[in-house]
Amino acid sequence: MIKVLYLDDEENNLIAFKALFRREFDVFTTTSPQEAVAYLNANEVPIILSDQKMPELSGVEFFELTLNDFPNAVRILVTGYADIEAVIDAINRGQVYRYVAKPWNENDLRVCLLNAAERYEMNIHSGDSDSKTNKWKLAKSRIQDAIHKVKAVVSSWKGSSQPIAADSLNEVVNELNALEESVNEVFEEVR
Amino acid sequence: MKKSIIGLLILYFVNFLPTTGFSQNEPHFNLRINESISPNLGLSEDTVKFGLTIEKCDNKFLFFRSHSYDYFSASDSNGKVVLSNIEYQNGIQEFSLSSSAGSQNFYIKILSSEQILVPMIASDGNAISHENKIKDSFYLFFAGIFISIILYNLFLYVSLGDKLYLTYVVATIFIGLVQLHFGGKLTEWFYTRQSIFAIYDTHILGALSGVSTIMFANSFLNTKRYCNWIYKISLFSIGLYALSLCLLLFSLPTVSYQIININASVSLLLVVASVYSIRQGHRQAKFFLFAWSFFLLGVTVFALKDFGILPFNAFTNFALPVGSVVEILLLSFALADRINVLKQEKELSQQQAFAAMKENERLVTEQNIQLEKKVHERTADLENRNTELHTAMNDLRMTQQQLVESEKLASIGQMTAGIAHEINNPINFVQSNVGPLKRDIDEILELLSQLADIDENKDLLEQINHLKSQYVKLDVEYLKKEIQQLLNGIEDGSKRTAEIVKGLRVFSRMDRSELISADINECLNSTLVVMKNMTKAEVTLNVELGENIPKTFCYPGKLSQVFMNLVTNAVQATRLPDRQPIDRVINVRSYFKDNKICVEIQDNGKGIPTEIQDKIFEPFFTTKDVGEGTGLGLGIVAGIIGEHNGHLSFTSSAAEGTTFLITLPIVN
Repeated sequence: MIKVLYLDDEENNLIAFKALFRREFDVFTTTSPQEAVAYLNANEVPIILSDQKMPELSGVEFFELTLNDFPNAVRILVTGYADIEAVIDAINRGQVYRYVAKPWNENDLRVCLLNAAERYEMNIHSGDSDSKTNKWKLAKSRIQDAIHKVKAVVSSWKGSSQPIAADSLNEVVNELNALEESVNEVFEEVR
Repeated sequence: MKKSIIGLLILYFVNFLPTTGFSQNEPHFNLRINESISPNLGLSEDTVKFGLTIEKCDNKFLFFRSHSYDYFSASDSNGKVVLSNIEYQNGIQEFSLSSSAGSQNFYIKILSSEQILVPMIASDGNAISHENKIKDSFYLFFAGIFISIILYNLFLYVSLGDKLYLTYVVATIFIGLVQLHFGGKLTEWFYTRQSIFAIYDTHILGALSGVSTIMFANSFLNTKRYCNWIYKISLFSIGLYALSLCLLLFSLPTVSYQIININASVSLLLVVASVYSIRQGHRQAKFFLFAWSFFLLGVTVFALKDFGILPFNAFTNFALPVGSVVEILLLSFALADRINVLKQEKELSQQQAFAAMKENERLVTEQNIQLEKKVHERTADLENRNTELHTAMNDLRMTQQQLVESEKLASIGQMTAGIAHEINNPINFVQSNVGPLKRDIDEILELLSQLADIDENKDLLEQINHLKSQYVKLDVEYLKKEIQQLLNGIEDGSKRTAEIVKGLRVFSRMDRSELISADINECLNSTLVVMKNMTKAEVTLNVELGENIPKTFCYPGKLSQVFMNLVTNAVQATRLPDRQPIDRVINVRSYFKDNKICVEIQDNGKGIPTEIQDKIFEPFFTTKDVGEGTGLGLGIVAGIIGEHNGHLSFTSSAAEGTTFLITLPIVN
């Protein structure tokens, strides 16, 4: 089973998460960042989840801390409502693969974890990118990324009372361009 | 009729050479009956002795007209004294000549510190006494004029108060005295020739009359203004007069007399000064010029007579006093005229003053009109300003209300965001616990139903073994634990949700204006609950709520706003880049002391700089960036505490952070 690490200061969330996914994944949960790092050092962990708001350090900080040692691990940020801006920022900087808003939807979260597992596979085999399957997988992953980013930005518009900034509009346009490119690539391949 | 010569004057000098060019034993003067001769022997410090030869005299008297010698004696050729010094000093100035046909010789001795003039006349006794009578009445008349002029000007001085009159009176007195002295009347009327004063009277009176005249002339001609150099010379001259008087004290009468004589030439300068004055438009200087000319004319005639150029007769003898009389009369007229001038000047100045007054009045009226206009303008202006101010004030009031409203909205917004976040956690695990719980229970129920489905007719052992293996597969022990955890989570989550909702209720009362009895601790708690989102990951929050704090009537919603503001500030103050959240400490304490509720919010942040400590309650004062804070927070806090009749204070330092202390009275 794929190993999943979940770091959250709220014990109840850990329990709920473990209860939900212990059948499909090898779930390790902890409230302590030190313990989490120790677990990462001891095991090959493909997927790391972390809550954003924690007393000792934030989720993004935790990801930054572990980025160098475990570059292939796919990171998913679990957040509450208020810090969406910080999260989008983190996604754009490439530290975070996905974010999940609380309260989470069980199925969405499962899909997210499965995608992450796939992504991890890709990260590992990025060297032999010539194989056709890999190409497909890469294109799929890119399309998923673009859609996810657009979704994130648009949902930040929903959550904010501020007028839409030109920057975030440009971001959406860029993502859509990338999306178009990837889709075109796939079409070329099919033809 | 040509008068026959009756005598010959021969001069014998002892220790003395006359200055006037006489030589020894030379006849110089022919003496005729009823005709005056007046040899001038110049100055001498010693006794002058000279001889006189007279022929063919017919019971005549030889009369010496001068009365101012210090010593005088006459003796005949036999050495017999015919007129002793004592007799002379007692006023006897003549001796009789014998009627013999032969010539007679007389020797005269004279001592005088003045110019020695020897005016003499040979005449009969009646003529001499007649001449004396005329002289007496002239001087009486003369004195009368002087006294009346003195009194008149004295009166003018008293009534007008012009010092010029006083100077004039003094000068007149001395001029008069000098003339009387020359006429010999002083010694005749006031003092004897033997008195000490008689020896120096010529010097003293001469000097004093000179000084007083110069002073009068200076002020009358205003030489200081019109002719300053003469003024200076005149002052020097006064100094010389003073010197001459001093010399008398050192018994140098001759030098003194010479100085006085030289000084007299200043009188010529006064003529020049008067001419200057006239030229520069000083009208009365003309009077002075006239008067002074007359006086000088008199002096000239008198002097010419003394030098023998003019004959010694009634006219030449009286020329000096007459000149001085004319002088003082003319000056008197000038001074009288001065009154007119003064009057005219006064009238002129009155007219000018009147004109100025009229002009002033006109100006004042004009200014009043202008002023009134300006006042009108100003009033209108002020009214406009007032209206503007009113509008501005209304605007301000509205803006203020809006700001307070927006501050309130901001805290409500902050709170809702916090609540949304805070409520998400419990809802998350409550919600997601339900699925696994259901699944776990389903699995157990499934096992139970399998238990129920045991067929007694089949192999029981096999069925039990199957069930057992199912049981082991399920890991029921773990399920039990998990179910317990999930249920606990649901319980905990719902509890927390309920608490948050309770906190929310406090904020829903934010706008309530009626006082309600509330527990401050509850209020603090719910505020901290809804703020958990802000404090949780940021700071270490220590809460220490005191027991036995009674309920009090208050506006709990507003107090929540206060606590929220202060805690927010504390969080922001501790947000220092070099500090981990664990080192950012906020202590919230409540306690009951001296019948008052105290709430302390203490942080270990960067403190409030001393220079802004007195400003933090001012509206719109903020250290935060634009858009981050309105600058109204602490102002509103102070306002709310004020509404509760409470007290808000703080201590702050960079080293220890800031502590806000709220004290609230108990209201029942």
